[in-house]
Amino acid sequence: MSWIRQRAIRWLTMTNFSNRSLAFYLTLLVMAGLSSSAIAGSAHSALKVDATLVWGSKDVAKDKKLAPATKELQTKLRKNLKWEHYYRINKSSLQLADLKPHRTRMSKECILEVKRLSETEVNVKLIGEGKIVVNRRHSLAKDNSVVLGGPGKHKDAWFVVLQFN
Amino acid sequence: MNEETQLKLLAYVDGELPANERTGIEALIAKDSEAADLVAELHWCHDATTGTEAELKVPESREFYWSKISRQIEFESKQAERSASSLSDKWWYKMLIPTAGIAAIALVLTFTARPPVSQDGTGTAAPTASEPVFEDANVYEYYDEQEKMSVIWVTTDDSNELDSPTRDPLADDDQLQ
Repeated sequence: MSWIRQRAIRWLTMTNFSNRSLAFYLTLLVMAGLSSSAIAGSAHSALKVDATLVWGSKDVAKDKKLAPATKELQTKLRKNLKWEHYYRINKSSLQLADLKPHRTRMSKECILEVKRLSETEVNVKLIGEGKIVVNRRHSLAKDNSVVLGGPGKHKDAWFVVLQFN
Repeated sequence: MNEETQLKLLAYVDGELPANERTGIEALIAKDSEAADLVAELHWCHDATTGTEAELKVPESREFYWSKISRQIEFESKQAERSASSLSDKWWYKMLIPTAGIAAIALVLTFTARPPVSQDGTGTAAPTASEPVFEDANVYEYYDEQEKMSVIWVTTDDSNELDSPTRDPLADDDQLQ
């Protein structure tokens, strides 16, 4: 503390006013920059969102290269949804360490945007063919996962499964 | 008589001459009339000036007077030290300018950055402009309390509107039987 006091006294007794004022404004700028970064960047602990694009089918896929979704995810989906087989088409992870929207492309036409609103709430936006199809808020306290889905052309279905960690 | 001898005579009169030179100078005064005259004149000058200097009295007390001098010396030494190590020579001042630049960039990025779009799930690309909303989408929402899972079923085609994605419980019962 005595060091700070000495610095403060020296600061106040500086005779070169132009240097003093320049140093003052530079310090102010540094503090503003650091504060804004801190507010924007580290106000919340990072939230990891795993997004998986899943294809649901009544029958076993003819394409043997398709990887089945994890057993845990299949069980979860099969419990609620009517399709029997679920295949993982794409997988992506988002780190929500700030309050800015984060986007990831799930397929050629499908973009997922997740924005953290608070410690307990996120906004999920699904954009298909350039149009917003889903734009919903979700409580993290309520939901461990969110499944966004739609019908395919052959009685099949696609899903974007979001799992919050 | 040279200058050195004159100076020795002056030192003799002032009583500052070393003892080993004293006898030599006394012998010189005894035999050299010019040296004797100079010594007599110097004695006369010494006697005339001693005790006739005007005494100067300061208005403050002795302690206060000296403390003023002490403070002035201290102030001048600090001023000299300050000018020797000017602000622009300090390491933190040199660091301040690049740090301020970085801070300014951070400020600009904080307020202008837009959400990154992953082209392939890993990279980033510029986001599209604000997208229009798909007006005709039908949304069916279902919540599984046990799994803590929300299902949002979206149909963009009227033919699929009534096609529920959820498992038919009666069909499950049939399977169980």
